[in-house]
Amino acid sequence: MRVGKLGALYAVMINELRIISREPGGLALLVILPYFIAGGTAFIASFFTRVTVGTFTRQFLGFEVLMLSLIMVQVGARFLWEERNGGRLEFLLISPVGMYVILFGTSLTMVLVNVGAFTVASLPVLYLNYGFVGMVKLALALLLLFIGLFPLYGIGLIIAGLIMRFNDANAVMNIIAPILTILSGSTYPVYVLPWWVRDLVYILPMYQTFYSMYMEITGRAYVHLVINLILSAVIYLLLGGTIYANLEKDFRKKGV
Amino acid sequence: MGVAIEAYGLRKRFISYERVGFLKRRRVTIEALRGVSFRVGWGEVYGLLGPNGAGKTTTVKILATLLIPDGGYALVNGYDTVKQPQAVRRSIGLVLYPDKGFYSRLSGYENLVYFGRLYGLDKRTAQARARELLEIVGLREAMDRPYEEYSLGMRARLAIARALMHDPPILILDEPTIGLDPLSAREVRELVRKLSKEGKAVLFTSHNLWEVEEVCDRVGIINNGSMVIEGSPRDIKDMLGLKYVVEVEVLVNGHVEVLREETLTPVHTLRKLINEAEARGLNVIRVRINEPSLEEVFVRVVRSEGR
Repeated sequence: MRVGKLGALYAVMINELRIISREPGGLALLVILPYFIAGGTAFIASFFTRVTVGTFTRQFLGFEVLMLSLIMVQVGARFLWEERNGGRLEFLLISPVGMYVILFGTSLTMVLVNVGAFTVASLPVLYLNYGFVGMVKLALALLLLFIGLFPLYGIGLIIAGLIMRFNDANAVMNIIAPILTILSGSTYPVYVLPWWVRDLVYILPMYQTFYSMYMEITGRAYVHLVINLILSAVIYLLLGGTIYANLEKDFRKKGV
Repeated sequence: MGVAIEAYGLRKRFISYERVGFLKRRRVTIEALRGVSFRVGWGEVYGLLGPNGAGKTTTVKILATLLIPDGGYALVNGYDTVKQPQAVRRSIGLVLYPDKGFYSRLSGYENLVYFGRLYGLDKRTAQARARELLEIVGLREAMDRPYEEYSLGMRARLAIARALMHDPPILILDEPTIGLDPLSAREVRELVRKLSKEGKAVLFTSHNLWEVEEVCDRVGIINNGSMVIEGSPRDIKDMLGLKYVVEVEVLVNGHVEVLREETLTPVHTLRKLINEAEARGLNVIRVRINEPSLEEVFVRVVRSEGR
């Protein structure tokens, strides 16, 4: 019996979890580290609660979105690099399931592990500040985060394609990671930026994801933000898919 | 016998850059394939031979949809490798690097199940198929050991098992017996013959010429990106006019002497040598006919092509 893309996606995710857990310190990376980072972030951000609850929420969500964004855009690309070095890339490229599913599954695994940690770390603080409603709002905010992962995956596809094209992971990552961090707009007030940088921040999906989540939790109007986020998901996915397909084709022309 | 693989006029060139100073580099064009054509029928084992850099792996990668040719086309199971890559991928099982290509910390069994699932098998089917194949390739005892602990021979056998996971009608095996001990290599050859008898088409590349001669129904020798000669091993030898060596051992005054003659007609020559010996009253002890080997063919073809 044959199964579809979802079955393959599940298999990729389980396989990724299995591989990480078998690496030295892998279980710590999967179980302890995300909670350590999320808990640490919550601890630092909690100092802002002395100023205002909103500031805490803003900082906490900002760090979460930043961290998940970096994971989402980098994991697929790094995975591709490791597969190439391990002689496995060719077998993934010729598997009928397609590289889109494999890259998405790999990135999603790490994202889910970290989302879990951030959710657990944020629950007590949100409950204390917003009560039960805060927890319900968090669930909706996580849904927005899930939508926000798709445009990030689109960017991840472009980076994965660039890594295949230029046959180098570190050089590409060293350029892209700091740019994404600076332009995330999720851990600092955006209004301090020059207008042209601010416009760049607005069109990138990190800020849209973060701001939608923040607005949901603080209970303000956000419908236009959700629409922006969905549009952003469609545009970045199309862009990422098209660029990746072209770069992969180029890769197949130049030689695997 | 229908056609399982058809390559027609495959051309491929690669661009490389050579360093000629601190920053400057020179563009170099490498003609990997210059119009390679061949066909593989169902139930046939076709051997692709050639020296290093001849274009064998480039051909294999084009057939496996890993490379797009600059010219020509290839049909695998009737599907175009450029226009219908997904259908081609479902039709083939590939062995490319027998010594790597698996997750080192996962067991052989886990690796097979994973790749089976990437080929669309559900979990139970993939597990059952993995167990069955591990039994066939003789890795049942080691199925739960991490891949990194496998010997070279075990890795090569696992690579063949992966190629068979989704039961493809066509197998493309790029040097599948490299690094295997003689016993394991023989098992692989027997497996290949068995699969071809089941109707599968097999494209087999190897540097081991007697192995190709033993396992392949037809052979193509490729050199400098061109198909130099093609046919059954016997036909190729005949085409090149390679001679048999007929030896007749006779007893002359208590000593053994050997009457030797190179010929294109071994039976006729053997009869002639025996008749001559008997006419001289010599006692014939033993006769031997040495067939020209594929290695001789290979050396002659490659040398004449200027390598």
